[in-house]
Amino acid sequence: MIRIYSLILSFIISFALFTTAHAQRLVSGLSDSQISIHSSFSGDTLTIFGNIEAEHGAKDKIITGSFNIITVIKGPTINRIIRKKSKQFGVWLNSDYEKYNRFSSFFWILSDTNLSDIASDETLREIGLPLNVQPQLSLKKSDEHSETFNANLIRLMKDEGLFGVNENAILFRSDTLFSTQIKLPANVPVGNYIAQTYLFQNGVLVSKQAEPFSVKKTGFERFLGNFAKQSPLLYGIFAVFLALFTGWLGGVAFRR
Amino acid sequence: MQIYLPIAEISLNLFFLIGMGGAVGFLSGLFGIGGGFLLTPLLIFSGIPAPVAVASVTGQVAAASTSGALSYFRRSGIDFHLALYLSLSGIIGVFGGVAAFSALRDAGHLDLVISLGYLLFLGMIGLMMLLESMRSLLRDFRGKTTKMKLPGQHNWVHGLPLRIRFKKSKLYVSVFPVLLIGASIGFLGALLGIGGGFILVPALIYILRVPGNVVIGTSLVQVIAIMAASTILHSVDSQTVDILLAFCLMVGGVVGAQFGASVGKYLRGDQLRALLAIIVLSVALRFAYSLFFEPADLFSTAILSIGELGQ
Repeated sequence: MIRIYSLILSFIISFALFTTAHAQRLVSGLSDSQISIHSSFSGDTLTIFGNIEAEHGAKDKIITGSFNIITVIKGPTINRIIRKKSKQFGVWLNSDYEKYNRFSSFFWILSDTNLSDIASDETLREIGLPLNVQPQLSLKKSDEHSETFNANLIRLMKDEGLFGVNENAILFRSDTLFSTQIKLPANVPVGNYIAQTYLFQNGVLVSKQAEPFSVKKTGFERFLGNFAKQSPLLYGIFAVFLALFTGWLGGVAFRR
Repeated sequence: MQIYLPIAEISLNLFFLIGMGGAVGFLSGLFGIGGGFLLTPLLIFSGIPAPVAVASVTGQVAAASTSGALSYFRRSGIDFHLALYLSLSGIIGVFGGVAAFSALRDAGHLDLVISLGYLLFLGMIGLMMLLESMRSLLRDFRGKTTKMKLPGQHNWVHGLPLRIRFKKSKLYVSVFPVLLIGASIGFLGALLGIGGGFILVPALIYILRVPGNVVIGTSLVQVIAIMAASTILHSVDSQTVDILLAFCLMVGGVVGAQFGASVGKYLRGDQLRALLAIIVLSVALRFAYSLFFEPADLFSTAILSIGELGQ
């Protein structure tokens, strides 16, 4: 009798856990949907905020339990090459390389605590985390050569501030309200970005939400960038005229 | 004050850029050189990608040479006939240089060739200038006057066929060495992001025997022509000319050159050449260091082409 009773109890408890685990949804937003690169651009900060809410139609409107948040910010993909120097014929020259197609040019992982405490490696791997489990990297043969290049590519991207992990970047303002900031460096690549926020509870992915934003050159910078790409011949001729004019002006102004 | 460079896609301090242009401009005014061979490495060491640095410096050198050429034009120190031959062959060389630039960049050997090129040419020219100016300074010290080989004297180069008379330079010389020198300078200038004045001037003096009063003015005209051609071709070929970067450097350079030129009046020719030789040799040594010593980072990464957005 006691056995049956405890079985029913555990069933009720697990049912309660099951329902709470899927009764939440994530609402998130960004401080800007467009980052403008202007003449004095030296990086920018983007705020990502969100709230954990009860699912539509859920009976229980009160959110309980402890949550973890991971936000992944990814930039436009670019074909990249990484080269390695070695000493040949007495000089150091690029002798070996590995190419990566459609490789993320920006990849930051923000979380409220250590990734390893949030979920298992397998769970994280399913959403392409951490940095070294990107599909573009794992497509490569897993031999020593490509692993060395993979590791060094990530290191170089980290050195430039374009890749990184910050495991205490997300702050909970209340039990359900959280916010975080991502610093976009001055060399942030131009293009379309996505900020993907994942909600975890007890190591299980409960909900996710994606917010797109873009990094664009504006004003004069945009005009020059487009001018150089769309009518390169005219741009070159203009550059020459500017040079000749500046030189002439200098020569006239300072008559030596 | 930070300024965002739209083609280099990085931001640098505006005063740093103008100051760097000014410092190099000062030297260029002092020595009568374009200064590209100093500016390109400086930009690369400041973090500007090598292709953007090489291509943008061409614009700055064109500006600096224009204001230099203007003052030589006023004192009629330009042989336009000779400059025309040098410029036309130079522009042909530029086409080759830009093509080689693109091919080497794609193969990943651009940095190597730039380093080797700088080491070879700067080392050679610097050593030659240093020896020559030392000899001249020593001669002066001993108070002896030895007869120098003067321009106007002929060597075997002048005897080649298809001779042309360049009145202003008082030359009657085969067209082949003229075209070959012009094309080589154009090739090197486009490839290395240098005006090539420091190679051209000795070549004109020692090989063609162009007299001293027209040699710098004439070489400046060719430098303008090949740098203008390089700017346009780099713009078309790789879109790596950053007008904003070039303009900041030009403003600094043009102003700095005026001060350099006025200081230069107080120094003697052989002292100037000895100073220049030391600067040229130190740049060469810097490149030798990067070639022969193990780099701090064996790995480097570059963008191949822009892909589409992917997740």
